[in-house]
Amino acid sequence: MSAPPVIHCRGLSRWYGEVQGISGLDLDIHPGIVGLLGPNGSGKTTLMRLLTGLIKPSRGYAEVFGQRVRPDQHSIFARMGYSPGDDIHFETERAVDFLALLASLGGDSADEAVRRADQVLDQVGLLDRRTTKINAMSKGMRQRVKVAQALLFDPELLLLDEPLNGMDPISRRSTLDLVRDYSARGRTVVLASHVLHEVEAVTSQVVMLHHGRLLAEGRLDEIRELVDRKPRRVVISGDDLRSFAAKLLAEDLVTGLTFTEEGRLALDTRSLPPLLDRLAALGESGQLHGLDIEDEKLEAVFDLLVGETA
Amino acid sequence: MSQASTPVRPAVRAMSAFAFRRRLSGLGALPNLAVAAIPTLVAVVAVIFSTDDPFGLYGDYIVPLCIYFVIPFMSMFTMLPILGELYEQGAMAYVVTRPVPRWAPLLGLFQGSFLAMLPTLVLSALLPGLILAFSGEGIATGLWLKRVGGLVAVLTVGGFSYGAVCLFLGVWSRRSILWALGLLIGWGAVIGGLPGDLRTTSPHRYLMGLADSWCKVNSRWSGMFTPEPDPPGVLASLTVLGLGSLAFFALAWLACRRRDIL
Repeated sequence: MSAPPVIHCRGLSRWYGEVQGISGLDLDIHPGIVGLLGPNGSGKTTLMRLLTGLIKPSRGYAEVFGQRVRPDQHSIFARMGYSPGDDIHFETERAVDFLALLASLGGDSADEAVRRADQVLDQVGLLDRRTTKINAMSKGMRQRVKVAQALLFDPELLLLDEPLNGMDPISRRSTLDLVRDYSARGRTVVLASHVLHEVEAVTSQVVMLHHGRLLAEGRLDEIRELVDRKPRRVVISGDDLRSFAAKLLAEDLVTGLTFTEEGRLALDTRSLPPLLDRLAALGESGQLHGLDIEDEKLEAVFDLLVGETA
Repeated sequence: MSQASTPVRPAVRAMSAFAFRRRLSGLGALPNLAVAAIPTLVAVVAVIFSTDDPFGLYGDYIVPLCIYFVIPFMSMFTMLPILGELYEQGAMAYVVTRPVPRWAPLLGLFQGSFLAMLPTLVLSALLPGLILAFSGEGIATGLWLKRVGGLVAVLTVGGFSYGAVCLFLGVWSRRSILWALGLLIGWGAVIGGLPGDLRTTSPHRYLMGLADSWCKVNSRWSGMFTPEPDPPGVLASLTVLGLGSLAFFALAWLACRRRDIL
């Protein structure tokens, strides 16, 4: 028998007045790293808030560790750490004081709280900035403090809402390493992001939300396979693009051609890999200067999946 | 389902220290100091323009001024900004996602804010008392202590009760400042100062009852409000204010369980 899911949602819905945040979400999340993907406004933050009891569902329910999430179900937070997408706001607090305050809310005495605060600051590489006030920190440092507060009690479940926003590349890498290490210890991490490659860097297991609904769930390569069956657009720039276009049409590799306003050539294809091989061969002559695959971006993946499910 | 037994006391103490520090550091203390300065300015003006029995003005003006004006505004300025900051900006998300009941950090916030309010409440009673006492021919120490000490005690009870009202409003409503103006000034000072049956429902009447007993001062701020002909006694006043505060704590507890944190 498989282990029960860490997170279990059934018919989970939340409206903000007339606006739909999440609608009829059925979802099970098991230990490991799960990427929660979706463009802005897709319902990622709403789902995180529902899982932490910050907001109540309009319909349906969410369970974490088998317990129904409710505002008074505070015992769950002994096992769960949450890094909100919002900023910290405790602007005039020093990093160590902010974290010690939150550690005290977990039951630590004053001394224990400071010790624990230093421990997590060390984990996110900010121990040398322990006495820096939050309002004197860069966006990236504030993000790391947010992650640190989620780690305070070494939780079994870590919910991170857009933790990499505003981080410099080195901080991103160290945060992603931290997430990987965390998961390697048998913990569950839900990493919400609207950037595909951030999630890809740590997991292949994703949940995709779109307009508050579950769009796709599973391994990223399976989802990519689905995407690969859909028409995709490649935009190239170079010399003598008209002769390029004629050759590609003759070989039946493209389903449509358009010249963009910038003088580039947009190619629609259902056979991306052969097309890329052909372009590489043509490009050896030096006539091809640039190539962009537009649907590498998350929004395009979503557009394709939405088209698939429509 | 049983809840894990996380100690609540460290949470209350930590939030209390946070609120206390926040209210007394930087610009946080300025609004309260400004409110506390008003009775002192009134005392200075009274000394400049009045020569006979300056300390008599303490009962005539300073005591009612503190009860009508200082308590409600100081309660608002102390309690509402910190609650607004936590709830409206989403900072409460960091606080309530901890293994303690939601009432624990709120109790800490109330405790710290109330303690931070006390020094300014004392100042608003003490400074005018000193100015008026030393500007006349001198008064009996016993009378001075009774008036000033009595007013400090009334302000403490008033700050606690009105603070409980503000705690509830700050947790319950996004427009807490408007509600607070309506409740503390409208229902408190105005309704409590006007004749009629409604007056008995206002906490203000019971604060004036305490002032009558503890400072030997009636609501004599003539021209604005009608004096209470039969002010309530100490026991009745403390009972009403105590039960009222408990009721607002209970409402705050209900509100904190119901309110979404966005």
